[in-house]
Parts: sequence; structure tokens; C-alpha cells
Amino acid sequence: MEIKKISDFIWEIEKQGKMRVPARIYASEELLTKIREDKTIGQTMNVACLPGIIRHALAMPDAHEGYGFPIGGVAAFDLDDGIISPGGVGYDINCSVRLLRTDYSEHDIADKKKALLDSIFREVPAGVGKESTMKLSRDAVKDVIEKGARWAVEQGYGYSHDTERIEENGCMKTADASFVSDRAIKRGLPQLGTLGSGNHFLEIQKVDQIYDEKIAAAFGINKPGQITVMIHCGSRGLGHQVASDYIEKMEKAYGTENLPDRELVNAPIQSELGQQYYKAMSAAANFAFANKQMITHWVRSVFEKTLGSSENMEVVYDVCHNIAKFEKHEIDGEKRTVCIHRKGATRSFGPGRDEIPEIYRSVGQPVIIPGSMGTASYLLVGTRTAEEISFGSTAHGAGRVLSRTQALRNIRGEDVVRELASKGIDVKGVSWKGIAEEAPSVYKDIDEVVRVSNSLKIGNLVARLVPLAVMKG
Amino acid sequence: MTEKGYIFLPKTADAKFQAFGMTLEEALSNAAYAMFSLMVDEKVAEKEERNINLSAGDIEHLTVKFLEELLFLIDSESFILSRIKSVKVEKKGRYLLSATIRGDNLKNYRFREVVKAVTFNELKISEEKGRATIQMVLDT
Repeated sequence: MEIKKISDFIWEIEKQGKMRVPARIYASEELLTKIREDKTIGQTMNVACLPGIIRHALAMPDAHEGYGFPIGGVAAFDLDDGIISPGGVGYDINCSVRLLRTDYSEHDIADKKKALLDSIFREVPAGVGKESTMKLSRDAVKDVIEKGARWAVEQGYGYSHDTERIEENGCMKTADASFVSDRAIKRGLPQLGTLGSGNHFLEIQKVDQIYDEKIAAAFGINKPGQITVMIHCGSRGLGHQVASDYIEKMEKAYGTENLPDRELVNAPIQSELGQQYYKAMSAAANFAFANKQMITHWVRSVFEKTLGSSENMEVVYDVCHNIAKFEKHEIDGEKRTVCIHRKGATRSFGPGRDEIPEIYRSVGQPVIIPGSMGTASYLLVGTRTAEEISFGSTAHGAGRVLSRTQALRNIRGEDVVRELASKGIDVKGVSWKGIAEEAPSVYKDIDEVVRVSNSLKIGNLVARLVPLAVMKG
Repeated sequence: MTEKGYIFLPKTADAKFQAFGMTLEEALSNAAYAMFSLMVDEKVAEKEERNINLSAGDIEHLTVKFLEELLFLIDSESFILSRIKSVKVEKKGRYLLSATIRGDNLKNYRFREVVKAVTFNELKISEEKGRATIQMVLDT
């Protein structure tokens, strides 16, 4: 299949077969080579076949093979004849990343780093075979999934102004617990306030480099050496169950015979089932928002106990990675609401959008792109260009290059911890194998991913953050 | 066939495996063991028993639902699988599965990770005389 070069960082596969629109890959030549090694391009072409898709099926610079949509896949669908697909959101609904800023500098925590990491490990349940410290009734869980981060604030976790700095203000108002199955609620019940396993982590970082001082200052990032905290987690079993439930329901209602991949099962946006999925997905997203709000509170209390204060430890922002949203975009010269699917992609809105918190509205939305365990993460700012060419989206992370099985064959967790320690990075995880599976070398080069985002102007560089201590779930 | 009854195949972001058996039921058991091999490294004791009854429109879906049920038991009842005592698949209009499984409370074990979901991605089930193979991908 021919891949046409449109520009240095834009590649196109023309409409062919059942494709309704062309597929576009946003990548450098180096990243494209990696992308071509797995099924990413074929999966992007499959997305291009879905009803009501607008303009292009897109793959972000960190794209890699997923199920249904590729990870790093973005697509917009027309409200009248378009579809909504759980496979375009992912099983870990609202897998998301939150960044906290502090007034501390590297120097302030130098001899307390280990104590901080040990306390965080004690206070924040990993949730890997561990139950949450919360004991909630089923009715309370319904409250959580309809209120999101606000529920956590009402229970004393954090401040009310925290919620202003979260995508959707930490609550998708479209959530309706009545469309979330009892099974999903049962799975969520013991897991609220837990980090989860796999690629989920909690990291103490320092600002390594600032690229745009004015915008960094607007985000509360003032100087190299400043301490930040990053939290990466999702909606746990509740979200996974919502995805599985609606994949089954949509299969029953619409079948999969005409689909190139069973995981692309979908329902028309306007159908009852499509609407129900959206409301259930919103509820799962709120579970993830509440989750991170609670974890934020525990991190603040660890800083307070260990260093004496958590003053000015503020949320910079919290971005969703796996989500479908109704957003206004300019399509053929006309502003209209479309259904955006972002699967392993980050919203990246430029200045002026109503969805951006007032404090950031004049500069643009903070975009947080985590690296893999032990590598740099980045703070970027959303752009108008992103709104024009990627439906306001950019990359979400590094993207794996080695499978977990390959990682375990070649890498020992003990070696990873020792190697990172020699670079001044402490790592604490539940198991050695779990650490080996997430070793830095199994991921793509995050620096190259953000370089492409910045060159394409779909998310501009603001600051580089490097890890000092990592809790791996 | 390997001694374990399953092999993992290269797959970038997720866990892909093939599970084998003389019968579909045996392959289903091996698929479940493959999934748990990702999560717990220790030998799990057989302290509790659970019965599972499921139905689905096709065999692929039944397989997905069976493994999903095992994940559900981890999250909702803190139950982890040790051994599948019996599993039976029948076709009575729909496909029916009944199984008796044994395992233990998860608090006694250390989890390496928890599989997020069982997917339909690259799901292939083949049954020839005397040999059944299940290929599937788990979201990890």
C-alpha cells in the first residue's frame, strides 16, 4: 500500500476499498518506520471505513497497534449519520494524566526523596490485588460516577478549585449511572482510590527545561529544578466492564458482519444504544476523575507530613486519554458539533476555547504527555493548528515498541531499578517482573514524539519534566 | 504443544497467546491459565470453589465471556483462580458453558499486574479432531 508524503510530518493513505475518507499519519520518518512495523496503518484505514467519519482517520505520532482503533487514533463523526464505538475509546475509559506543581525545588527534597516515595507507596493503594481503603455502598458509587472529582472534593479530598483545572471540570455531566451495569459497579466498588497496574504510575519529577517561559509561568511552572508530581491512572475495573458490556450489546443489536474488525463494533450516535453507551462511558470517566482527585489528596498529605507543607501544591491540569466527546469544530468552513473519539490521544485546544479553564484561556490548554517509567515527560500547550488539522488532538505518550513478553525475556526488574538508581531515579513497584515489563527501553522515544507534535504545531513545547522517584502500580 | 498448554506470541502493547487442548474445553482451561500467568507468579491454593454458568451466541463470544468472568471474580469477590476442576460447553440453540473452578482470596498473593480486559482482537478458535486451539489478545 502506498503512503504519500504530504509534508515532513504528514503522511496519507488515499481512499481505497471501503474507506470513506483518507487516513493520515502524523509522524517523522523515524517514527513512521516504527509505525509500519505493526498493524497501526491497517487499523487507521479500518477506522476510515466507519459511517459518518469526517475528513480523515488520524494516527498521532506515538501511534501503535491497538484493537479496533489503533492506540493514538483520532476520528470525528457526524452527529446525524455517524457512529460511536467503544473500540474507539478503549477498555480503560478515561485513562488520564494529572500534573501537580509545587513550590519545592530539587534541593528541598534531596534528602527526603526516599521517605516521600515510601510514604506515597504506603498511602496510595496500588490496587494490584489490593483493595481500596474506601468501603463504599453501591449507592455511594452511583454518586461517585455521576459527580466525578466533585464527589471526592465533597468528601474532603482536595479543594473545590482543583476541579476547575481538570478536563470537563472533573465531571462529565452526561453521566447516567442507570446505564452502568451492576457488574461494572461491583467491580468498581473495591477499587476507588487505587492506582492500578500496567503502565499506570505516580511520579515525583523536577522541571528539567523550560521552552516557553511565559506559558510555563501561566501553568505555575517557574524554574528548572522545581518539583512536580504526575499521576497516571484510569477507571479501573468499572471502566473495563462498561466497555465489555457495550461491545456485547452493540454486537447483539448491530452485528459485526460488515466490519473489518470485530472490535470496531459500534452504534449510531443517535440510537438509543449509542446514547446509553455515551452516558455509561461518561460515568466511567467520572470514576477516573474521582480516583485521581483522591490520590491527589493523599500525595498532598504525604508532602505535608514529610516536608512540613503542601501549600501551593496545585493541580496544573488533568487530561483524558481514552474518551469520546461532543465538541464544536470547524468543518468545511462551518462550526458544528461532532463526536470525537480519542483513543490514546490528548485533547489540545488553542487559546480562547470555552472548554479551557479561565486561568488558561488566553494561552491555551495545558497538554500533559507522560513518558515511560524513568524517562522524561512533557508539558505542552494546545494550539489553533491542532483544532484545524487534528480535531484539537495530539499524542498521549511514548507508545510501546516491545511486548511485555519480549521485555520479560530480555530485561530483569532488578537491573532496571539499579540502572535508574544510578541516574538518580528511585523506583518502587509491586513486583520485579512488573517493573521489567515497563522498562524505559520497551517504549518509543518520547523526545521524538513531542518533537513531531511541536514541529506540526498540534501541541507546542512548554517544559520538560524528568523523574526523581517513581511508584509503579 | 508446550507443557504449559499455551504459548505467548509477540504483540507490542498487549498480551497475545495461543492455548491448546485435545478438546475445546481443555483449550479453554489453558486460555484461563495463560491469562493468570500474567498476573500471579506464585502457586495459588485451592481454598474456595465457584460455579460459572454462561451463554453466548457464538463460541468466540463464549470464550471471551468465560475469561471476563474470571476477571470479574478478581475485582468483585477478590477470588483468584488456581485450577479449573471442570468445564463443559454445549450447544442448545445458544452456546452454554458451565464450569467449576477452585482458587483462593487474592489478599494472600502478590499481583504482578491485572489484565484489564479480554478482547475480540485477533480472536481465532479452531477445532479439529483431537486438537483445539484458541488464539486471543488481552488488554494489559
